[in-house]
Amino acid sequence: MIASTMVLLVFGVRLIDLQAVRGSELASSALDQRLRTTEIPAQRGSILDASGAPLAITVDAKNVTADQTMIDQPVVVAEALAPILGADADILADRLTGERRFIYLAKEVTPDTWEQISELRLPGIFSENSSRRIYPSGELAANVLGFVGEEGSGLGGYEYAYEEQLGGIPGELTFERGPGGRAIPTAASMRVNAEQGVDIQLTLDRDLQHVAQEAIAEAVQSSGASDGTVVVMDPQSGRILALATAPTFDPNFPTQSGQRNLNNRPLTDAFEPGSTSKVMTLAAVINEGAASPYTPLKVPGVLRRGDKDFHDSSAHGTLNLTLSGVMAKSSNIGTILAAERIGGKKLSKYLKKFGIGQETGLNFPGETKGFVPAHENWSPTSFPTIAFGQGLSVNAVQATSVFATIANDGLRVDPSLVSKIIHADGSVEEPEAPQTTRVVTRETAKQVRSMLETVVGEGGTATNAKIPGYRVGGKTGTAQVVNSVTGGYSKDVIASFIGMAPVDNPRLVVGVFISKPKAGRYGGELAAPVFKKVTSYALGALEIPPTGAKAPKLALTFGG
Amino acid sequence: MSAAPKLDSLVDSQESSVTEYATKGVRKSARTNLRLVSPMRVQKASRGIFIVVLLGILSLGGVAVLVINTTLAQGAFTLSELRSQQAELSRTEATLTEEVAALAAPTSLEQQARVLGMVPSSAPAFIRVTDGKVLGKPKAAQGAKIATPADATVSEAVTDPALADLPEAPGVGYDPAAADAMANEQQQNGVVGAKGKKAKAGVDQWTEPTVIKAEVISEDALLDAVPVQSTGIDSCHLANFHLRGFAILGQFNQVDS
Repeated sequence: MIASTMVLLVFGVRLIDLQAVRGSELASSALDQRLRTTEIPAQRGSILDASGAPLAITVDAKNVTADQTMIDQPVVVAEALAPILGADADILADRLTGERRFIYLAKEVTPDTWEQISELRLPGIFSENSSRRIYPSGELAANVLGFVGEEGSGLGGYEYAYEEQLGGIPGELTFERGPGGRAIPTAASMRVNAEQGVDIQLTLDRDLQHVAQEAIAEAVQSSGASDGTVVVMDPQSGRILALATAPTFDPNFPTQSGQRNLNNRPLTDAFEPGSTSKVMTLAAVINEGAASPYTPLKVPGVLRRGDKDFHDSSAHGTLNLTLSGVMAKSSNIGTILAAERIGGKKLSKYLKKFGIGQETGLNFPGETKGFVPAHENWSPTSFPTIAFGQGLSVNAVQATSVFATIANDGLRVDPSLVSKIIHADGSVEEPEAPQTTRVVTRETAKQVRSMLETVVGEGGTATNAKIPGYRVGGKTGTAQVVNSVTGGYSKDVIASFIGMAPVDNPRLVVGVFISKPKAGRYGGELAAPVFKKVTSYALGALEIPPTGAKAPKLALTFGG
Repeated sequence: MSAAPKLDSLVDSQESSVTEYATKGVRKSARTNLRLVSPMRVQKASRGIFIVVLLGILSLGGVAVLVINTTLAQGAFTLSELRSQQAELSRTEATLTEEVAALAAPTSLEQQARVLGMVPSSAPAFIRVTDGKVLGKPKAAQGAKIATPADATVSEAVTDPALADLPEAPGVGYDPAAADAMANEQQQNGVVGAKGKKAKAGVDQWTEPTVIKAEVISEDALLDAVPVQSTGIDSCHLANFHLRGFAILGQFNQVDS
């Protein structure tokens, strides 16, 4: 009797302990054992071109995994898998041998590949859902797109800059798990849906980008240059239609390319603009009313300023050039003489207005804003050198944007590369309208444009840029490259040509920059043909007919 | 299942209450006329019916459970079948998406255009449809030709005698002077070259443009080739014939063969 009472008492105490004292604690730990939370991955958004064609997309993929303890004959399994995975059988056999319950054999294989594997019905080989970022056009716009790392997050370019928006927010599924690992159907489960990544639509035109990329790659190769860049802009909207550089890389295999080629050179590389910079100086001079395209200038062969003698690219005696002639012949001395009519303070103000030394507003990772020394710090030789494009640095987009400002009647429109952000629910977010700045008057811009036309005309430095049937204007540049070791100028140059068409109603501005060419040296001989190739394609593709107007004749020289 | 014993106990209590009531009634009033119905008989009859009803409910339930289970199983089968079908389809979709994207890439389009014997145009030009005026200076495209069997096919299509017999329809605003000027220029440039004879014959006839469409090429690629035989430049073709006012003369042009 006593014994049974004792037993019952022990039972009772235990019961109270389990149910009342530790009840909730035990119940929750039991629930913890059953509860599983899995991540619902968010689909990464695509990057599209201006027409909506995909430049970067994410497709379904499978990771192939293995449970080593389930594999009795690793060599046999490895030999069966090797041809499908395109891997070495010995390495696979190594990975299949051991006591590990989970190991990756291959990541991001196509669903088709997995299908072939699963048909073999190999024990211990499993798959895991995954996704793969592909760039169907290969190298196309790789410099802008960037690339993703092994985990699928952006590591370069806009893939990196827009990582948060492209990546989305992963969701969560919480459920109670039965012994077999399956969800208990009647138990409560909680699901937080993933927020899909947004699609980013660029302003780039896929076809134009392709043509620009091919053209610059060919020019870089044939001239033995270290690299080259092409920028195509719509001057009215500031939209960048093509941003090409060569050599570049294939974002599908970013590790196979040199680090140097991963850069988006048009934005990350700064250089001295050289003669293309004369456009800013002469526009400033005209805008201040200090000269007109017809103003005569006596241009001596040598000009001494500060402690330095300045020369033109080819030696000459005293020339009687008009301001147009100074532009057409790209005279350094003529440009200095013209710039002296307004002075350094005003010139410095105009450079700033043209966007030199300022952010482009493209928010590109690794972008440089170039450099202009503050006017207070100018030495006696600073003013003359800056006037013709030395002693300041710009990136290719800034340099092209200067010409876009002239093309757009003196109104500078900040360049843009992203045209739309498309959310998963279909709503479209337009970026803020680009800022506009009045730099020079409409009349000044028009006069500068007609001067630019003389550069391409007879007696100019860029007759190679002529496009039959169209009126084209532009400016060549052959800028010396600063030697990063000595700080002085090296023998290397950057040959450039920045132009616009049709010059009487510009719809396109194209900048071409070829860095350190071995064969050839001048912008007119190296960059102008690339300009011609890209621009004539763009005029046709964008359906820009010639205006049909006759080019005015501007006198380049005066007197006799 | 748990409902069954409850029902039983309910029946029991009903029975006893009925019996009790009957006895009470006899004792208190002794009214004999109230004893018409035999409670035993009623009890027997209601229990029989009750069992039948119960059995009916039970068998109905059983059948229902069977039907539901079968349907569920059937649904599960369909579900798993559809799931595997969906997996299969999304696999196909992924593969096709990749394939289409790769084929539609400009690099591949250009390659295919070149295989068809086309080269990029160097001189964009337009025909203003309203008055037939040619804007720009069209030039026969030049470039390395890639000799492939496909090449021959396209060349044949272009120089097909059947095309030469197409109706002469100069169009409303056709400008023969412009066409002549253009043809002359071509000849001066020596572009027409060996084909001069043929070109001359075609100088003053306006041929309705015939669109040669290459199926492999997407619509937006500006690759639809239209021969403009009237100008005598049978090596020059319209790409994307637009009626909005302008037509482009050749983005990718057939090489003069």
